[in-house]
Amino acid sequence: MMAGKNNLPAKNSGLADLYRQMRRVRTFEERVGEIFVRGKSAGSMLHLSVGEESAAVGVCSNMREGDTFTTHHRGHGIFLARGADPARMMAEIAGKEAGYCHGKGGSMHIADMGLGHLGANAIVGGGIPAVVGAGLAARNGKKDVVSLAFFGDGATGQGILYESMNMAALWKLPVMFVCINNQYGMGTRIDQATANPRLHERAEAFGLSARTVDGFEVEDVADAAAELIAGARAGKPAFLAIECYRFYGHARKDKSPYRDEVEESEGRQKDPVLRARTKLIASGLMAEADLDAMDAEIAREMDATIDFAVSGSEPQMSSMFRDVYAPEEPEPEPVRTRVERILARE
Amino acid sequence: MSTVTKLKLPMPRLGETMEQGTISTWLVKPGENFARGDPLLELETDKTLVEYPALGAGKLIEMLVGPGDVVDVGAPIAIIETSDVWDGVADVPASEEPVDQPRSASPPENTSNSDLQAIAGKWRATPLARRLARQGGVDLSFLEGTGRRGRIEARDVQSFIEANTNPVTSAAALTNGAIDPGPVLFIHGFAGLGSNWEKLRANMQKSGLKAEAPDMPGHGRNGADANSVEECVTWLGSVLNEQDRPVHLVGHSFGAHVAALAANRARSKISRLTVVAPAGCGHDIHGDFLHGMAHARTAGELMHLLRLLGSEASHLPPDAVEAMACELAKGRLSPLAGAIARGNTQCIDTIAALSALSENVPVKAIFGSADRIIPKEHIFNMPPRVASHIVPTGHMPHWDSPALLERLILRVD
Amino acid sequence: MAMIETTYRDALRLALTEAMREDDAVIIMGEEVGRYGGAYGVTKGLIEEFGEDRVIDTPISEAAIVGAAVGAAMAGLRPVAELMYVDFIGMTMDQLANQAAKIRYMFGGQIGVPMVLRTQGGTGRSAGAQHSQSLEAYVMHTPGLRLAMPATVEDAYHLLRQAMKQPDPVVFIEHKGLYTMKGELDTSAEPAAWGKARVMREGSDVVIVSYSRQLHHALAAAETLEKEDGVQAAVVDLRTLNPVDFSTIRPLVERAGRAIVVSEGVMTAGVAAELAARITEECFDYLEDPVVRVAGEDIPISVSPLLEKHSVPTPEFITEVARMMLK
Repeated sequence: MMAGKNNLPAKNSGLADLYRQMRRVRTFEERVGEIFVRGKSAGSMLHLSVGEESAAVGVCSNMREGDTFTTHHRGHGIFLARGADPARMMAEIAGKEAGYCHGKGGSMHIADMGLGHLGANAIVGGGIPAVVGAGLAARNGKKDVVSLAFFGDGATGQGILYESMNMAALWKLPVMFVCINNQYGMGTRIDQATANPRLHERAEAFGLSARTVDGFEVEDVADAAAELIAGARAGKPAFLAIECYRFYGHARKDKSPYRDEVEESEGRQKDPVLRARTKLIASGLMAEADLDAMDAEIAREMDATIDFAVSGSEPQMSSMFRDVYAPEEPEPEPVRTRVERILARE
Repeated sequence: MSTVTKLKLPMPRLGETMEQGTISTWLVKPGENFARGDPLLELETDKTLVEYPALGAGKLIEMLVGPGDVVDVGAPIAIIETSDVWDGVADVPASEEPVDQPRSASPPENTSNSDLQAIAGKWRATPLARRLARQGGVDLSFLEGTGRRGRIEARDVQSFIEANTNPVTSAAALTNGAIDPGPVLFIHGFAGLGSNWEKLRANMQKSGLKAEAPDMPGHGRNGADANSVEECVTWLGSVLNEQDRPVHLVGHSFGAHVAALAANRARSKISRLTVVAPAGCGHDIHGDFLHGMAHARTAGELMHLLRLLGSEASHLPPDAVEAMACELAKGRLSPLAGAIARGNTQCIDTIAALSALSENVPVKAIFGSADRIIPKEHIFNMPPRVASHIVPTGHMPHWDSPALLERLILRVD
Repeated sequence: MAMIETTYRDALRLALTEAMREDDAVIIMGEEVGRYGGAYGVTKGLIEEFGEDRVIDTPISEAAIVGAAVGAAMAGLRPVAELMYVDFIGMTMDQLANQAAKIRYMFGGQIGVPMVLRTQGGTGRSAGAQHSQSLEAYVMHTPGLRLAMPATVEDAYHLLRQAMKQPDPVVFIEHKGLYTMKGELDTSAEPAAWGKARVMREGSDVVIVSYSRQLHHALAAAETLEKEDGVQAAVVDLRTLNPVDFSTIRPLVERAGRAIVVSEGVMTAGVAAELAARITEECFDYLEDPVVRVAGEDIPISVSPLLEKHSVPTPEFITEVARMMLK
């Protein structure tokens, strides 16, 4: 039942492994919340995916090495599920040199080309068309890889989603569009943002294979994703909407003033992590004591990420001008250097 | 078993701009235990309602604030007991921004006179001309520009520099004609100093002309007192006596009167006379200025009086004004002031001396069109043989337009 | 190789053809680029030689065209996307400015976006306010985006070949008025390296700095000034606006003491403003006159040919400005 290398779930992983992945995401996100409250995160824009773990884990368990993906601003869980090192993630979230992007990207621009993460995006919908391009590269290069775009229900208001789905269907690209529908785009509930909230219907209209699945059961998500991703690999681009409930407000630990108490508490009862845990115990697949031990070990692992992030050093000032262009190109001239030259006494 | 400690929980900073929060609801009661991650209380920031979770397991001992309380970030809100480590709980981070240096309120030092002129007056020289002037040690205020809108361009500076290699020709270049190469003797005005002429004197010296500007009795470094006009005239007479060649005598304001009288008595010592904003050439004078100068005690009083002289005078550096005020407070000039004017009426006459002198000696008079001390209308009282000029300046043409003055002084008409 | 007589448009096509023959990763994507041969005919014949997998006709989806090019470049292709009119750049700004320009930096140097976005702009066809603009200032103001604007037949070929080799995204802005311009091309001789300006004419009385179609207006003005006024005007073709080659401009301005910057983009907050500020800052002590900008009027472009012509600098007006300066 243990995971394969790089924290990726082993093939044919059962519920226990899905649960373990989800618990890692849940615990990591809770630590991210803590680091924010302690004032150690870089900036105040942190978007936690608590309550959406089944979407990330269910879909990612069907991806292979070499597949690529982009995420939205609520994508920590997806990255973790693809095998990211949580310590390096936390360091990036804290804006430290040891982070995945040397402290320049933070939570919302985290990326790792090695794991196929083409980047998280702070622009709603901003990362979607890139997978069309990746699909073209796969097609032309005859590579057996799929490219997935993860986004929220809020992005269904962006034209770029439709331009991209249209192109993907037209050219039969090996791509999948994954909509994590947590019912809210910022503070606006989906039925207040669109007249037709049955999102997969729009994808069908463009000619994609499309489904909606309830995110409460991670196994349902995994099954739906398996089918659609297999189809995408064969040149049938797909769309999957996963219905979840976002446990906190738009950012960090807001207690959303725009959701009423009843809705909130009902939503919190649809906790996919708890559901999986309960099922494991009820079906006799895992003993509670073993689950407790697993949870505790994960807690220790994630606690260590906080120390790693907090103790990490800031990026050097000299790195500020690096990576605007390729390494062999001259860096932009700092204003100070220019002004000193202009105002120098002869 | 780790030790149990009591901690004071501070109000957390839950957003970069958060300075305060309002307590909304406590979610645990005193005496109640909580686990790590359990929400302890709800609080309201300016943006939203937020839960504050426990960073470790523990027990609430005492609430220090209650619902509705507005609390600053960092202020204690509760006492808790815990055996976990609760480090780094959102203390107010030290500001990493460098402290802004207070802007200096005083004007920039090293602002040269030419820069002041550029500020005060119209735009005068191109960047290239300025650099060439700086490198060549040329004072821009001595140049007349031939460029657009009268500005000084590189070629103006370059011709000046070239011409300067030969003193006589340089002055000739300046005056477009014959010049008087004889020594110049400058006489300052009432309450002034020889150094009033410094700009002109130094520039002439640079061109190879001999030029001097002594202090009159009762003024500056001249220790002798001047209780009457006659004492001043006598003094100048003895200065003239010491000259080995005839001099070009230039007098300003009261100094013009003294110069005219002394010149009349020692015509052989004089090659020519130039009077600048001369006193004694008409009925009126700005009496308040004259008597004010004689009795000024403070720099403040002096500044008001100096402003009557024109724009350059009001740009004198503060320490120069202070020094002048100290000097004037000694009151050496009171008797002389009374001799020159009673109220706004002049008691001296320069016209007679000018008339007599101009029969044999070239005499030039220069009046400022914006002179507030000596009315420009006095130009109409000049005797016919005196060549008279109006220049667009105040009472101090040698400050306001030194280039023009130099040209008029040197040119032989 | 031999010198050939060709046009600006054909030189562009030659550059694309040769690049696609040399590297399978080079693809072209845009509206009407394949079957139609390109709105201005630049890509004519390419789909026949390279097939529809490499010359991709897209739907009218400018944002996704650029966005897909970004993703394709990150995934190993060398896409040359086409934006039919630079006036449409607004539809693509997120993918250009927030994605392409920033990916290398935000992701800590992990990856670049080696794509070219070809487009065209400028007046001369009575195409109206929404199809005649010169919007290079939007690109120049975005760090991370390279910007090339060929003025000559030689650069239509060489600058495009250079652009396609860059490791960073390049916006390549052609001029609709130059497509039919004839000229000589030696494919083996680069007129200048990438990022270097070219001195088209020497002179020590005044320096005229320009690019794209206005370069030809500047050269015409310089001819007139020499013939009729005996004035020697230096003329510089910038070729690229990012990077800007200031080292070529500086000695010319220091010698002449006078400079005019000519640009078809509008005056306010435009490319000419940036260049004039730069020249003034860096050459201040050598200037006899302010650096004057001759740029487009701060107005939309009319369809009327007469109004259109005078909305942007003309050779006559440039000549007049130089004369005012030197009088």
